[in-house]
Amino acid sequence: MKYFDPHIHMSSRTTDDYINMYNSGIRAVIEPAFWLGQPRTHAESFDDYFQSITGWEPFRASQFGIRHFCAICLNSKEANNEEMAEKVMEMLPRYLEKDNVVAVGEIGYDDMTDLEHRYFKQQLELAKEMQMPVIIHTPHRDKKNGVKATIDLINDVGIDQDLVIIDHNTEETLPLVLETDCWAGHTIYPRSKMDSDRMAHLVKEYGTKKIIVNSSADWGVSNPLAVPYTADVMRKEGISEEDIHKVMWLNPIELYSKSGAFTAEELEEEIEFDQSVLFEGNSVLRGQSPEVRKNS
Amino acid sequence: MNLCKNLESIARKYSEAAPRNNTFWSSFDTLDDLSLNEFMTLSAAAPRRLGRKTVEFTEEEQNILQGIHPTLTTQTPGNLGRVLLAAKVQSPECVEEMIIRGGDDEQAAVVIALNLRDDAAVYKDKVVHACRTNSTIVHGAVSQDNPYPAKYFDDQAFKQLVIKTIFMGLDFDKITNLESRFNGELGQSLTDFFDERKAAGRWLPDSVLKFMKNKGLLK
Repeated sequence: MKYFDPHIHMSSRTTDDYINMYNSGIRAVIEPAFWLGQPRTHAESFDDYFQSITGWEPFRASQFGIRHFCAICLNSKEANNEEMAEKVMEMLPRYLEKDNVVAVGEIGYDDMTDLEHRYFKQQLELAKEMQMPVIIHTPHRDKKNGVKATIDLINDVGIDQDLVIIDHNTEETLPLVLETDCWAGHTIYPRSKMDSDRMAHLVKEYGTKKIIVNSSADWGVSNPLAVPYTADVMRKEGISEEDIHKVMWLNPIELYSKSGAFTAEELEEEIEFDQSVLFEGNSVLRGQSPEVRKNS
Repeated sequence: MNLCKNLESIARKYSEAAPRNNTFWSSFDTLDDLSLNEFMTLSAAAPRRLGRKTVEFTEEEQNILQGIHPTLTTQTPGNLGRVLLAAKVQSPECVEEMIIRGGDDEQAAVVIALNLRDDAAVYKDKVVHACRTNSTIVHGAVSQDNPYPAKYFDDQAFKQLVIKTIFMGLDFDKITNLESRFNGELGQSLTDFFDERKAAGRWLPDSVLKFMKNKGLLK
């Protein structure tokens, strides 16, 4: 079965991860823009980061047979640096038009400050104007209130809820999201917040409509194979292949193809990749044995 | 400028079906009034506004595109739009920004478009810098079937281009006017590269060996 991990920070991951992900069935990923574990100190650092996730990273992923898309934004933590935030906001429209960009994100609340609110709102308005999907991060602390405040802001801005995914849900927040027309994202963490067993139970209880699963794997302890792993758990729990396919492939495609960056038909076709093209050079392979896969 | 006009009419024709093509062409018609940021936004947006899928060009159109650069015959209307933007914009600042900070396909478009510009020579250092990439899309656009490097690169930069083309597994035979830029230093670099590969139990592509043999570089 083919899988789509619609939230994973691949620029923090290794080529081994790409190989394992491909071998586990992952064929497409979305890398939302986020913070790097420590605050940036120059707006221009965002610029180069955006360049990287719209340029080098999709090329690197393609060498391993995986389509790489991304989301662009000013993240909530760094929205608290007003001087820098203003400069980053000016950069966004240009990057949101890039070829592999499928959404504004991940935006949202972190500490729920006034500045976070201001830039969260402005970016929702930008997404509304550009008719782009939006990935909304929900806070790690005080999550339920954060989700309520997020839904209030979505209503206030008036963006089409079918373009919005509210991410990192738990048993407490999912019912709130399902009362809206937004999509509901779930991050499978190795040890906290949501795991594969609980995810399987949520699908059994609430069905598959607008339900999306991701790994959010990054530079921290995380599992880039969380999507295929959770699919296996769902199988063992008796969930049908059709339902697994919908949650792990069709749903993210339905949401993010609204960006116009790809179509469902395009994603059904495998990427032709030939690492031997780069075998001789200073490439992703660094002199290792290449893998070749061509469509027949 | 006839090439530009022909390119524009092809891009206009094949973007007709794209739903938002008007928003591209209305900005294109006032190209030199755009700010740097507006220009780069338009370039980024070109595929979504003109078309992201490859199209079937007529034989005559293929000949026109071939005359600009062979790879244009397999490009999308969006990327043709990018070539056109880079060829037509007056501001050198916009061209430089696209060379250095465009995405891979934008960089590929602009290094092809330079051959249509009267001020092509002034961008030499920027193009040399753009070659410091591991992306075969960008390096390939400079090194493959592109007359720009042989015409404008100095000896050192041209030598790096040739060696890196081999290093990245790109097609040595597609380096335009290699023969006219060959000199002793380049020959020495090829010989050193051959020796280094041989010591590691590796080999150079046949096309390189054939070239070296013709130049008397292989014992």
